[in-house]
Amino acid sequence: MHQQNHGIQVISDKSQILEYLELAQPNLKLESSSLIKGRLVFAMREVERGYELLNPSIHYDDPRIIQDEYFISIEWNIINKPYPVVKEDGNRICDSFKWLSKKVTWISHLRDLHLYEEDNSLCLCTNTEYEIRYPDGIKINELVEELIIPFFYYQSYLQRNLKEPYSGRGHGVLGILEYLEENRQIPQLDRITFEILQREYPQIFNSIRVKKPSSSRTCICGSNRKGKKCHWSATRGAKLLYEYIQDANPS
Amino acid sequence: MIWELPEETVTNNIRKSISLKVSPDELDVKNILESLAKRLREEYEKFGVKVNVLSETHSVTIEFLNSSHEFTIDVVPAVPITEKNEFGLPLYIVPEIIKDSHRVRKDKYSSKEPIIWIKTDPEGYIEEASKANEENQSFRKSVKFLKGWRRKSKEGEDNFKLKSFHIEQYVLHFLRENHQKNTWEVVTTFFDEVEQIISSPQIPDRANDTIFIDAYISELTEEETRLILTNAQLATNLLNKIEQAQSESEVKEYLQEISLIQKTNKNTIYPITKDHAPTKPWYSGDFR
Repeated sequence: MHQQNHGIQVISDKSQILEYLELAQPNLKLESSSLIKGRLVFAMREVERGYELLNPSIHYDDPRIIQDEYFISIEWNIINKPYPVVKEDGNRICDSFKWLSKKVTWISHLRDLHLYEEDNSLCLCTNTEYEIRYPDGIKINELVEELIIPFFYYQSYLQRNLKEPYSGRGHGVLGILEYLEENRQIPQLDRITFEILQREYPQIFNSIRVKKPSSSRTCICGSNRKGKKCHWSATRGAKLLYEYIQDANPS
Repeated sequence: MIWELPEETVTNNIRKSISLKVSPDELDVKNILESLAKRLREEYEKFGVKVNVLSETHSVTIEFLNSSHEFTIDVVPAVPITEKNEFGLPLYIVPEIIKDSHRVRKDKYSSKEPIIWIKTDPEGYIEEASKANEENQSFRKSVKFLKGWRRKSKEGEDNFKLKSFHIEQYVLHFLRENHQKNTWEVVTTFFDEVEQIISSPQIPDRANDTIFIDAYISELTEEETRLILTNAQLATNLLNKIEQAQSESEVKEYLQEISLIQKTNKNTIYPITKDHAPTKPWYSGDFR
């Protein structure tokens, strides 16, 4: 699916990584030049305009603060892997799947918990988001604070409350289109979404290209429901993409 | 991590009843503990955590070596039984005479008497504590403060024998009868009543009311008893000074003198605020 020539890797050097880990995540250890392993400890809460990471070594009574820890590994510069590969080594997510799938209706596959079944690696965010936010590569603190901790916040919240703190992205192209709709103010996002869809999701790309998506027609996810009642923001994203294609190439 | 006993090590006898005496031949505790120790060693190795796992006579001790503060954890094998507590949680049996003092335990273990499996209700204690704290937040606060006093009293002093679990259970029982009391009232009452608290065992075990969780106090020597009383008196004196204190810093100073509250992490990197919504997890497959 992916070629090696595109992708985002960790750009912090060894001393920057060591300094950051010592300050922020002393239980994570740099094992080799591109492998970090150990215990991720965090305390996070959502605030009005974003979120806040708190000192995890203090105990908080506030139920809105999710405080937890996971054994993880982070590896990058792996051939054929365009993004850092993060895994949860303690198997908590896999274990939680067994009982969550009985209690929560929308969880029926491990992938619904945003885990790749082949190697249990985590899907932290859409690839368009990677490309938009970290075009020149990602720093270790950005990776930990902006992708990994929010991922585990989501998981821990889900386990405690049997519901998501915010809905995760739809699978595959749905998530990419949702991201497009939510971030329509970013000018280069249209082009990046266009390229990624053309390359990785050619079938859906073609169907969007030839027929203007509409939220009154059946949803692009293939369900029998109307787009506006099913994947509303993905449908809106598809419309934006259609318009971009038309503008770029009216023929 | 929950680790279940290998099927072959559980004999029918344990399943049938809990009051029976299981001889070490029938249930090879040594084998159980060794395989538990082996499994723990393997699991920690997977995570790259440096530990020393020792199989003792009645439990497995894990010594954590590479963290900034070394500590040990005792793991006791427990077998769930059909009997349930009032919360609907199962009771367990454990191969340990945990309610006795260290001295008595040592004698019993070396005498080669058959191991008595006793009923325990660990989940009941946890549930009870969290219920108590839901009802009145002073539960956790006062237990924390009193345990800090205990830690301070134990600093460089081997003869301070008051148990942390005993303190917690005292507070729990006290608040059960005095719902509305605040942390200050709980703490001052504890110090006022300490002489009575250590006069005789009085808190029955949840799983078996013929034994007492504070049974160890009847084994205390005169010197050990005196040490607890002296430290409690010192704490009371300091609490009285707090009532007269003129400033916040003065109060803080006295509190620190009574109780060793754990130092907060000096980590200054937090809080970190991000002014964008958290990234949402995705899955690249499925809709192509």
